[in-house]
Parts: sequence; structure tokens; C-alpha cells
Amino acid sequence: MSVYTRIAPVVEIRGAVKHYRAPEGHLVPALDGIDLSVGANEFVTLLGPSGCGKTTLLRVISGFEQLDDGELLIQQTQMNSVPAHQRPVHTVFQSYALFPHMSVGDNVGYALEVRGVGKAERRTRIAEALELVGLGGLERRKPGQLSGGQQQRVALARALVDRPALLLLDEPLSALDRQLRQSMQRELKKLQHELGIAFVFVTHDQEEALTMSDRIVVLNGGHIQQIGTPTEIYDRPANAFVAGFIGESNLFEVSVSAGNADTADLLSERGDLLQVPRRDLQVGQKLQAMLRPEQFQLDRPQAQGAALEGKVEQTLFIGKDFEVSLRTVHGSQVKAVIRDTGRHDLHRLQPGSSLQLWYALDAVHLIPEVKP
Amino acid sequence: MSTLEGRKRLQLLGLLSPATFVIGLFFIAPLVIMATYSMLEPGLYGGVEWNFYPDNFGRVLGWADGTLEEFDPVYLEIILRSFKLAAITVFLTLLVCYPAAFWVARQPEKMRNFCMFLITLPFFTSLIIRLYAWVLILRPSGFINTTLLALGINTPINLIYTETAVLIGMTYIFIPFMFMPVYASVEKLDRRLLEASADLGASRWQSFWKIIFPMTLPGVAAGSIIVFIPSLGNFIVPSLLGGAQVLMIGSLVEQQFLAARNWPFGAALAMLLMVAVLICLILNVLAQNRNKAGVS
Repeated sequence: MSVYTRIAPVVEIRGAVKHYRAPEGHLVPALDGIDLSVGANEFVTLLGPSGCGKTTLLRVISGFEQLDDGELLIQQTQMNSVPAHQRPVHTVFQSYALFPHMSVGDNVGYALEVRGVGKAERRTRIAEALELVGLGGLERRKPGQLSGGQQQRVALARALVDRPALLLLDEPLSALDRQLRQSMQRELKKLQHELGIAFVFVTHDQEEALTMSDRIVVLNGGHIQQIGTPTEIYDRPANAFVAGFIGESNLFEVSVSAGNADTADLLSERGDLLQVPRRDLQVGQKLQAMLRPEQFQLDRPQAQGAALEGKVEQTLFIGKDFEVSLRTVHGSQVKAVIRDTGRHDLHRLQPGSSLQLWYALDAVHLIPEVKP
Repeated sequence: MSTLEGRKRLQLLGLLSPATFVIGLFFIAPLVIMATYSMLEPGLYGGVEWNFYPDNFGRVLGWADGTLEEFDPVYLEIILRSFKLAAITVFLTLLVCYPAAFWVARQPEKMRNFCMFLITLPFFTSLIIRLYAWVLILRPSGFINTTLLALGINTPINLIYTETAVLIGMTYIFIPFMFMPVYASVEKLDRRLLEASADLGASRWQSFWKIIFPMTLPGVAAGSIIVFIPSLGNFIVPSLLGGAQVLMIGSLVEQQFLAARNWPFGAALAMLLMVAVLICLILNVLAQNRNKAGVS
């Protein structure tokens, strides 16, 4: 596992199973055998489409949902049936859930107040927590007087004020506009690093996950699809779902058609030919081959390369780069992001013109066929 | 621009004039008449003599017949009793409605609508008839005592024409008035705030006092006012269930106008009642403003 979990993990989940009852009466699995551990000072993101079980998993850790089966340990203590208010865990909610009738200061100091921390100490720690999120001096405002971004920060300060062992964040940035979201991402990451508190962050935004996480847990249908660092997940997706969900990808269903000296030929179902380094592929073996759009280029690469040929269907300028849709001679659609065109290559990208898209052989990522 | 504005103003005037007319004619005019009468001399056979006569108020405060010699706080006692019974009515309706509102708010929509229908159901029947039903239940040979007798308890309890009977009747008729505003504030309560409270370490008890109670307080305050004011001036319930034993200020005013034919004294009583209620309302508004201060 990762470097973090070798030291005592903050959270350990073993064989977690949770079912919901559908309105029609049958049971729907929300978590179906989840194993996960989160190390101290680790930033783990639960990523997946809506309904994948990520929020359920978060609510199991915070204590708002009970597991049907499996085990939940927080700081080495079994917590399956410990009520939410007795867990050393705080949550930053998607809706912020600030108490509208209390001042910002009282909101932030709530966790201290219910634990009976004295007024004087409370005041200094509230000030500290607000300072931490850049809202020093706003104690006396009411939540209704703050902007969305400020409310977000108050929610964060409220959850951090008594330094919990673990902070859970349930899509906290989804309501913010893009620019604010990006600056908050960096700030959260920095804060997490400085405080040394483990963060479990739920999002459906893969970009957000890649930017912030130490490790990403990709969930779908109540199963963990892959756990890994952002680069592992991006460069070597474990299956077609992860490849499709994280970043854009061109996926080909292929079978190994021939083995040469140091390369192998892969024939796609439509008839496109791809080349990869030989490795230990068997002729006839079925695989999925993935190429990221940005791995294509217009000219033959320095390393051993091959090309897909076709006609340009559409070219879009997406700022700095061009996104090219190519229809290969065999009818497959390939998406490529071409950078450093120097603009003089533009005529080659005109819709209707023939184009070769080159790739380095070792850029092709192979996903073994999953047995159903 | 100016013509447009003038037209808008004219429109506004047109829209508001019916309401202004109704309020002016039916609310303000009677009030002015009553305020005037309260300071006039009572006529011999009802009506008023047009002489300034401040002793009406003196009599309410305990100087019978306007003389300082015999201090008799009989009317003050009635006023105090009215306040006491109205306050207890507020408390009892709240005791019933507050938990019930939480229960109803948790039900599925169909059940909630059905419960709201049940709450409004009593309004389909005349209030007098419903109160006579209570007479049948509470009287010595009524439902409660026959049941007790059947159970082998032979000492009949005297319920009718007591303060208890008045309280039972007032609580009964004012429950819907308390339920509606309390329910509205309970239903609005965001469950996610309770999760946040538990998440931050608050027990259920702490969550109740720090989150639920303050957030439903406006509904409780509104319900309390809506129940307190009419129960303070209520005269039907004390007349039917309290008899002569439990005289409340509402019945007293009624008696002064209809039986004693002392209109100025009745008017003075009513004015004092109104001033008392106004003071309560102003205090409530001030308290709410203080709570809301700072919320945009």
C-alpha cells in the first residue's frame, strides 16, 4: 500500500457492505465489499459518478449510515455502532450547513462549546481557526451576510477548530465558481499539509481529484475500481471505466494479430492497426488499448512510433491547444489534442484534409480484458 | 417618466382604497368610539352622557365607583385571572402541538396532508356546539364521571364550572391556532443542520437546545401570540364551562355592555385589555428584532 498507511492508519474499512431499499422494494447495493485505509496526513479522494457509493462511504465514516456488513475502524477503534457525535471526525458539508441563527464565531466555536470548553479559550481558538481560513475578524457576522466562498471557509474553520483526526469533505467546492474553486483547491491542499490532518474528499470532478489528492479511490456501482496516486490512475487506468472516467481517452477493443521482433500488432474490431512494444503478448489475446488525446502528434516521434490515418472531421481551438476529431480510414473516431503547432501547421488540421496522427509505441496503455 | 410614475401611484391608490376603506370603517372608527366612550359618564339606562368621566378607569384599578375610600381589586383579580388562564392555555397548547408538529413533519406527504385536514376538521362544526359537547363530557353526570363510576370509583369529580374546565375548553379550541405556526417552523427546519450539529459532537439534547429550539422559536412565538390574545379576551368558553365561578375579562366586558348596561365601564375594560395586549406585542416585536439583527 502507500507510504502513509504503513504508519497506523486513521481509518480502516474492511469488507464494507451497505444496501439501500429501492422504492420498488428490492435491495440496491451502495457499497459492495469496500476495503480502504487512510493514513495520517493523507489526502484521499473518493471519485466516481453520482450513485457510485462515494457519499454513502463518507456517511458511514461520519456515522450517519450504518454498515450492513464489514468493519469500520477509526484510530484503531471499532466504530461501527458508535454514534456520530462521539466520533473524532468532522464533516464539511456540500451545503455548508452553517447554523443561520448563530454568528460566525458561534458557528466556528460550536464543537468546542458542546464539549464544554471555556469561553476565553473558545474565543482564542475561534480567532485562530478563522485566521487559518483567512476570515479573521468576522466573528460577529451572521452566515447570511457572507458570500458563498466565505461561507465555505466558515464551514471549514468550524470543522477544523478542534483539530479532528480526520476531516471529511462532501463535494465542498461544487457550489463555487470555477476560479474560486481552483484557488480553494490549492488552499485546501496547503491547509491539509500544514495541519497534518487526514482528509477524505468526495467529488465527482476528476480534475479536482487529480489536482488535490495523494491517492484517489475510483468508485463505481459500489465497487472500488482502482486505488492509486493521481499519476497512476491517469497513466495506467486499471480498466475501461477508469480510463473513460478520468481524463479523455481513445479506447480500442483489440486483439493481438502478429508479433514482430520487438513490436506487436494490435488489430481493432473496426480494422485499425496499432503497434505496441512486444512485451509478453500472445497472438490472439484480447485487450483494450488506450491512447490519451495529448499523446498524439503531427510528426513522427523521436522514439519508435506509429500513426493512425484518417480525415479531419472537426478542429476546435480550446485555448493554447487544438482539439482534433479524426475519422480513421476504418471509421473509428479518434480525438487528439495537438499542442505546439506553431500555428503554421494549421492548414493540416482543416476539416476534410487527410492527416496522420503519430504516437510513441510505449505511450499505448494496455488494459487486460476483464472476465465478466 | 413622471406620467408613468403618476399612473403607478394612481394604480396603487386604486388597489389600496378598498382595504383602507374597510379598515377605516370597521376597525378604526369603532376603536375611536370605544376610546371616547371609555371616558364618558354612563347613562342611566345604557348609552352615555356626554360628560368627561375618568372614574371608569379608576374603577377597573380598584377604586369602586370612582371613590378612593373603598379599595376593591375585584376587577384587577379578574384581569389577573384572565392573564393567568391565557398563559396556561398557551403553555398547554404548546405542550400538545410542539411534539405533534415534529411527528407530522416526519410523515410522508400523504399522511401530512391528512393530518392537516384533521387539524382543520373541528372548524366544520359550530364552536358553540363543540363547547356544549364539552359540557356533556365534564358535567357531574357526564361522560367522565359515568366512566369513573363504571370503573368503580364512586366519588364524582367536580369539573364543570371550574378553572380546569375553562382551561380544557380553551386548550381544545386553540390547538389548531398553535399548531399551524409551530408546524410551519418545524417543517422548515433543515435536517442537514442537525447532522452538522451531531457531526460536531453535540448530543441529541444539545442539538435540541442549541439548534432545534432556537430555530423553531419564531413559530412558537407566533403561535403563542395567536393563542394568547384571543384566549385573554375569550368569553364563550368561560361563559359555558366556567359559569359564574370563573369570570374572565371577556365575560366581564360582555356583562357590562349587555347586562349591566354600563357602556363606558365596559369600554374602559376593553381599552385596558387592548393596551395590555399591545404591550405584549411590542415586546415580542422588539425581541424578534434583536434576534434578527444582523441577518440580511
